[in-house]
Amino acid sequence: MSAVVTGREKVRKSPIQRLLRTWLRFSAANKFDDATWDPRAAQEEKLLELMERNAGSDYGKEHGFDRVRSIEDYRAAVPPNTYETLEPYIERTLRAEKNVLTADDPLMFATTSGTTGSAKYIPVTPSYLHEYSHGVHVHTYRMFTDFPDLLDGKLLVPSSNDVEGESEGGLPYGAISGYLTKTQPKPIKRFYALPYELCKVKNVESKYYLMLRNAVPADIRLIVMPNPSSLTLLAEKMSVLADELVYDVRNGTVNDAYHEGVPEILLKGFSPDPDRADELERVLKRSGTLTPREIWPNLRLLSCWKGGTMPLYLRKLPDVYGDLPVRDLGYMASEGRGATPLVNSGAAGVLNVTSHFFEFVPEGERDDPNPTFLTADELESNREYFIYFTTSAGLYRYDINDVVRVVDFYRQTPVVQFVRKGQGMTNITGEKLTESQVTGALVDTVDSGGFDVQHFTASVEWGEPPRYAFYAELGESMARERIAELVGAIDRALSARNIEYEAKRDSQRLGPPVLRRVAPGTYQALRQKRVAEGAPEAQVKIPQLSTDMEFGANLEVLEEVSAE
Amino acid sequence: MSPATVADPAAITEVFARVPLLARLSDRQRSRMAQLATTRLYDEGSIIVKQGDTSMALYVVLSGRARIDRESEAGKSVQVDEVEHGGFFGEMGLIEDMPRAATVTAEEPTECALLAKWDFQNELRTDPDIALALLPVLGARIRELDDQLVRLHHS
Repeated sequence: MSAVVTGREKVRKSPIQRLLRTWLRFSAANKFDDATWDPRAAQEEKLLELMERNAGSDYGKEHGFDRVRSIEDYRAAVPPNTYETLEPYIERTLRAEKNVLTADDPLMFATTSGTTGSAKYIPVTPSYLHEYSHGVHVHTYRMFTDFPDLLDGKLLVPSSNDVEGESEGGLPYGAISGYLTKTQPKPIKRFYALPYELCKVKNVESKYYLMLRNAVPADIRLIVMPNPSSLTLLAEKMSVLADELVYDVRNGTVNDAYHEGVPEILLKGFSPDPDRADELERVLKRSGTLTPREIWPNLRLLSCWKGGTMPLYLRKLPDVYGDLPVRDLGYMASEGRGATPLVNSGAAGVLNVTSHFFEFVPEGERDDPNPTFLTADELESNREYFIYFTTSAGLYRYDINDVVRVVDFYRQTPVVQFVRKGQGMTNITGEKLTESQVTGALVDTVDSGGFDVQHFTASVEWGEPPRYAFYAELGESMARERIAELVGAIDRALSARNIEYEAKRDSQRLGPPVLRRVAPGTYQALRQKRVAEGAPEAQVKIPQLSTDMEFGANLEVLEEVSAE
Repeated sequence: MSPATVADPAAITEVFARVPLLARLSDRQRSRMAQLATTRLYDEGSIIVKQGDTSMALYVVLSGRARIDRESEAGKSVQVDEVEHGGFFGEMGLIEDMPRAATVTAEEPTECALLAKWDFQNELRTDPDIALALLPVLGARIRELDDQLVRLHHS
């Protein structure tokens, strides 16, 4: 590999590039685009297709899919479901019983990495994979259209392990992203900087080193990582490992320290690249370190989650990536792809009306005995809803426990943004504090006070009176007086965002919160622990509001400061 | 509520002529844009768009009235404008990729025409004369900003 070429000279697109764009356009983008004019019709079509295909499955027969002719028929025939209500069917599928939830057999099971609870297994059938990929293709096509030279270099898109284990019936379970990477056609693989086998590396240190070892010599144009904290971690590792990386690029080697537990194939195939090493060395001499902004001058776009609890991490991206545009990755989970962002601003995307069938319950009605179920065309602007998925994975009227907000409309189709998990709420004394309120208060505080907060989690703590404990990994500059300011400021910001919190604090039914500074590296260790437990690394989210009373039990606390 | 309503392209074409960004387009070009617009009705008190959110479309008020508020960094909300028939917001969102700059709330039942950024830009790609017609408008916008800067400097 020679040095990265900078400049914006027009590069003639290769036939494979042109073919890929045309295929994405005609196989996915145009269909999606046309459907946004009439989401009701698109959704009815999708639902009836699902009913017809799965009418012969056990679940379909039990619920009369063959008699469903409309959305109303469907609601009358099928009750809303949770994972628990579908679990008996999924367990039979895990034992390789056929025709249980869906007519087509699963290829694998996607495991979810929910913030709490045990793993859930989502049957990934060929038709579900098609629905899921449809959203990926629309997203990809729009990125390629808006940034036409992305494919003139390489794409840095890590995936998670698709084979974490085997079901009782002998099918693999793991992450869909790994499966999609593994099954990519060969001509497409050449656009990607990372080999599939990287998803097998469990150790976070080794994984990031190898990611960089593959990506640093390349002309990276796009980075896609679900979690923005992974983007900052990538930059941090690049800086820490700068000397080793330059050495390895120059000599075509892989550092011995990262060989353990790594598939053999990941240690081979590197050639010495003295030109690129010289280039990196010049950056190192000039800036004292390596940063993505400097070593990848043609990097055009980042894509990651921007909603929910992510704003704290997003704020750190410009330090290492400059003013690059950041496009949301889309509202998605193992259970389905909810929305596809078409622009860079904000964190919302257009509802994927051609992927799955969706229903919505107004946020305040969720616990009603007969909540109102709405379709995509019935949503109102700036309202929050619980979203229900019906997909080819055999999830019928499935409550994913997510709250989304409608922020705009694209033609007639709502543009939605993930707000929070339904369960992301704590309520000790009636304050009903949500994770989005905690994130908002934290961002307000960091913005107004310039506090260096790396990671943060609020957790409830029983006592007389009960109170909130804030666990935080802070920058070195944060002295004790600043921490006292910080905890006081967060307390006030929470009061400003939640009048019940304010009332409970005023009446002292909630005690003053306490901030516990945890040791550097604590959150990375928490991530590593979740990965070791089988969660896909890219998807691990440590909550900013934990309902787990034991959240801080095993963390190394360096100091404690109360808002008193 | 913010249900979709039945669009009247002729009425939308007429209102689009008042949007500075679209004012210099030919009748044919504006009519084409009007065909691509959708319409939506907002109840009194409902938020049409919110500051900081993803911006996907230009909104033009067909009937009713809406208040435009901007929140300062200190979190204080100040009314900066009001729009009624022929008024508009989000027009720069058709060109640049920035979040909504203000919150717009319907003060009475308000019907808006929405033109999606993607559709606007597609028209731009297929009819480069549209881009040429936009240049003087954008030039005027730059001059206006320059003047504001000078005034600020001398105040």
